[in-house]
Amino acid sequence: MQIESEKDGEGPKGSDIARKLPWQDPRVLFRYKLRRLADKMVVAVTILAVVVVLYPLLDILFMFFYRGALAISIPRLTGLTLQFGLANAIVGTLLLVSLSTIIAVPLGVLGGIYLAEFSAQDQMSKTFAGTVRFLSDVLSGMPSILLGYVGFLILVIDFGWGLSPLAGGLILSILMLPYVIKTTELSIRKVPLKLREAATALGATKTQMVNRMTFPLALPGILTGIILSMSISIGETAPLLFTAGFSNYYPCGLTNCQVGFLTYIIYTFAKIPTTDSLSLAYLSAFLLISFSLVLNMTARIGLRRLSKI
Amino acid sequence: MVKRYGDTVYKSLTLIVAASSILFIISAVAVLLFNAYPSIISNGLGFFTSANWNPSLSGTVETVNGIHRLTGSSFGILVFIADTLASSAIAILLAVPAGLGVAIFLTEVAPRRIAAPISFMVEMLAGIPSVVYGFWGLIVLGPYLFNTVEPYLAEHLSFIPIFSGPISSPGLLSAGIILAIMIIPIVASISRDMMARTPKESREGAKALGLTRWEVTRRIVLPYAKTGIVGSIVLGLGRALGETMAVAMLAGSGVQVLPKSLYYPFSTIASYMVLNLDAALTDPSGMYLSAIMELGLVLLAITVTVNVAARLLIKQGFASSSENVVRV
Amino acid sequence: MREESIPRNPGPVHESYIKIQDLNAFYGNLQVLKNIRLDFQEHQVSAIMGPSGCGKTTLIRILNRMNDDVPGFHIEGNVTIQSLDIYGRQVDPVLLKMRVGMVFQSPNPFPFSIYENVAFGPKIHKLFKRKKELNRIVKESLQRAALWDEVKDRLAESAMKLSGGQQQRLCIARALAVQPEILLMDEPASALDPGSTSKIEELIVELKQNYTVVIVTHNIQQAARIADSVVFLYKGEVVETGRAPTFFENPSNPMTEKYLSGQLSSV
Ligand SMILES: Nc1ncnc2c1ncn2[C@@H]1O[C@H](COP(=O)(O)OP(=O)(O)OP(=O)(O)O)[C@@H](O)[C@H]1O
Ligand SMILES: [Mg+2]
Repeated sequence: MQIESEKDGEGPKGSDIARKLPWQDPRVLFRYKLRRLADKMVVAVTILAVVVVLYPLLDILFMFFYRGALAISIPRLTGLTLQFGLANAIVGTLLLVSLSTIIAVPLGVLGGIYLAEFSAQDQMSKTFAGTVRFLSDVLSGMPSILLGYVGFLILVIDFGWGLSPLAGGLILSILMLPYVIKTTELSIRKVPLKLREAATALGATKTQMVNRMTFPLALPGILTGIILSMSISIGETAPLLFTAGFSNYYPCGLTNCQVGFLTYIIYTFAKIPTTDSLSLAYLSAFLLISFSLVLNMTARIGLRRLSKI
Repeated sequence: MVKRYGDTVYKSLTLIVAASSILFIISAVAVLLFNAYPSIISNGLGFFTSANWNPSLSGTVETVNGIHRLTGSSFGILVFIADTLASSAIAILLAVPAGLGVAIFLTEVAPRRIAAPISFMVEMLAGIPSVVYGFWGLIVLGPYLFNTVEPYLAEHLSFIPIFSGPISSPGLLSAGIILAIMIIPIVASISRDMMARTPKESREGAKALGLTRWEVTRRIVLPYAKTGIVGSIVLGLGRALGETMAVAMLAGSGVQVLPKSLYYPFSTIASYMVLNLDAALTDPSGMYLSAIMELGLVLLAITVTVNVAARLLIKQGFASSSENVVRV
Repeated sequence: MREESIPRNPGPVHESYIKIQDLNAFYGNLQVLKNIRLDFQEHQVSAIMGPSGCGKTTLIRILNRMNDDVPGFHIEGNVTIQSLDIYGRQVDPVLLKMRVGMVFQSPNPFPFSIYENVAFGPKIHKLFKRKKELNRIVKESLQRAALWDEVKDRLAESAMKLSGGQQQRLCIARALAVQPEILLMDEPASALDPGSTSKIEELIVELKQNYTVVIVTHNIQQAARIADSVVFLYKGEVVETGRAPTFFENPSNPMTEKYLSGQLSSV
């Protein structure tokens, strides 16, 4: 590593002209051509990746929208599954989603308020809140089929609710809970601290501050979270098989009465290779994709905004 | 004083509700454990080391050490474990290059007006219900693989053991591909968020030294986002391991043999669980159901471990906005 | 690439080395540089001054095409380096950056070791055959950046552990390691304490023996200390250019006078 220092008054001009600069060196330039080629190839590969990834999406959308649209007919939309219609399943899906939303929203929103507003008060609250956050992440990573089994054993058998809207709705609401909690917490935390401090400075209690100030401001974010969780519950199948059952007729009550739903139609009728069954499955898929994509994408756009600090 | 009393009530109310999610988890685990107990005791370690899963429904009830089971029944879950891991491994092998390719395209290659709609479409993949993927797999992907791709692979790549025939029905490969499509949006969108967080200063510093776009990506962006990218892959793995409907619809009869090639029929833990509750209920000794519950515990343990690891990695690589919207 | 075939012409020292003609620059519809005509001479330090937001950064980033990737950014006019039109079709913007190095306002070392930071460019461009040569490049670059003595015993340590002033000199060494001809510096000392600032100033004066330096600065004293020629930019237009001492002693434009006396703080 023995080199003479440039600083020691060596003639700058002389050394400069003798110096061969890299951008003039043919080997460096040749290497650059290879590097540029590598760059172009990577770009091509990423474009290929995009094409490969979007192909199934477009195929799925096109196929189900096309075949689903062909399958649309008044009897199929208004008839019972008994007569190869979807009316009972559409009503059943709406019932299940409404029930689960009614249960999940108050629980999730209040839980989220706790995490956002009360969890930093002392060490114990902090630990507790950390546990809740952690477990709600665990819950959102839990395969839904497991909740289906649990729901079957506890709600359907032990509680004696039977395969029913209530059992299905309750299990769906547990699946939704982590999302509602998380988005509520995020939305409330996004409300500027200044506003809250201003409210408390005016003598508002924490309760008044949360209810009149924070909550209304956080409401749009909370709503997106609710919409997201609804899109999840509308597309669920596995846990409902063991908690909601299936019925060819309209729902007849909250307990001890099986209920039909759209995902069940797809699951079952997709495997039966007759025109009537497949048409029904296509139409269900068409409706389901439309509902859940609209809900899901609305929520995602909202949440993306929410997550930007 | 009255005011503070109100606050306390409010706080307690929200606290009790927040605790409910803990309650749900604990009771779910308790129910699984309680029901799996007979199987845990009766099947012991053989449950994990044997590949012989035979409920033997024609057997008669016998009682050993106070636990009822059918004569001749045997519960070993190696096949389910192998199929679950194999299908997820295929999914990861396919989804990682595709998802990272998309993420690199979105952050490094495409101008904004192209990146935004493509990003939107990739996220749409995550919004499609899994039963729809199963349907598509059943009528489009499965037959295509079975009739075109698999014969071709078997003919030309048969010197590699996992590619050699025979071809019987849509096999592991179809499950792997479906799972890959389902987890690509997770890998792509979280990786994209992580890569987009690379400080502008680092990018520009590298660019000013004469690095090409790919070199900036490889030397600066990918190392910066590394932890988060690994997290997104692990999160995708968690989803693939626990995915139920899409796989169950492709699983067919669920023959239980250890997979030797990509074309073998398969039964993952989740697909077996969803397809066999009814059968399990016909076992008068209850051992079949108990064994399925133990299988469920195994699935729970695997997915929770993987998910916790993923969340930790992603937290380390900064909170991602996509992480919050991914259903796992 | 045309650059390979153009012989490097040492030429008389006073030939304009970098020539900017009728340059207009836009972010979308917003015009930030208007009708710029400027010449920068070889082996001199040229300072660009002006109130905040007047377009100094934009101007300097045009010289190595750093702004090419900024969405909506575009220019009209002509920029040549030794008569080579750097926005010509035959010029590769990546390769141009080997010739025109850049140091940024706030130090931005990579999260690698000190050694790897300096070796980064040479490794990418493969400017050496043996490890020994790379070591020499690293040492020489650190010496030119007046950092060698401070870091020679801790080359393997993370660059992030260095002080702000040391980090900035490391960034200068990093730029020097790919042996550019021109060094662009955007307020290189604005984030530093006075001690580090004077070190960097000394360094810049040293550097002009081997490089052509274009520097943006807010600091009038600093410009007076180091610059050979000065450009005063106001609202995207060149108000006055001049040789260093005269510019500061006898500004011909009243606007320049106002700026120099501190009455023009921003646009
Ligand atoms: N990426 C961009 N998009 C749109 N406008 C920009 C962008 N970057 C800079 N501008 C605008 O261009 C003008 C010139 O900005 P520039 O950064 O060149 O100023 P400057 O002289 O370097 O200022 P300062 O001394 O504060 O660094 C400003 O009005 C600025 O708002
Ligand atoms: Mg600037």
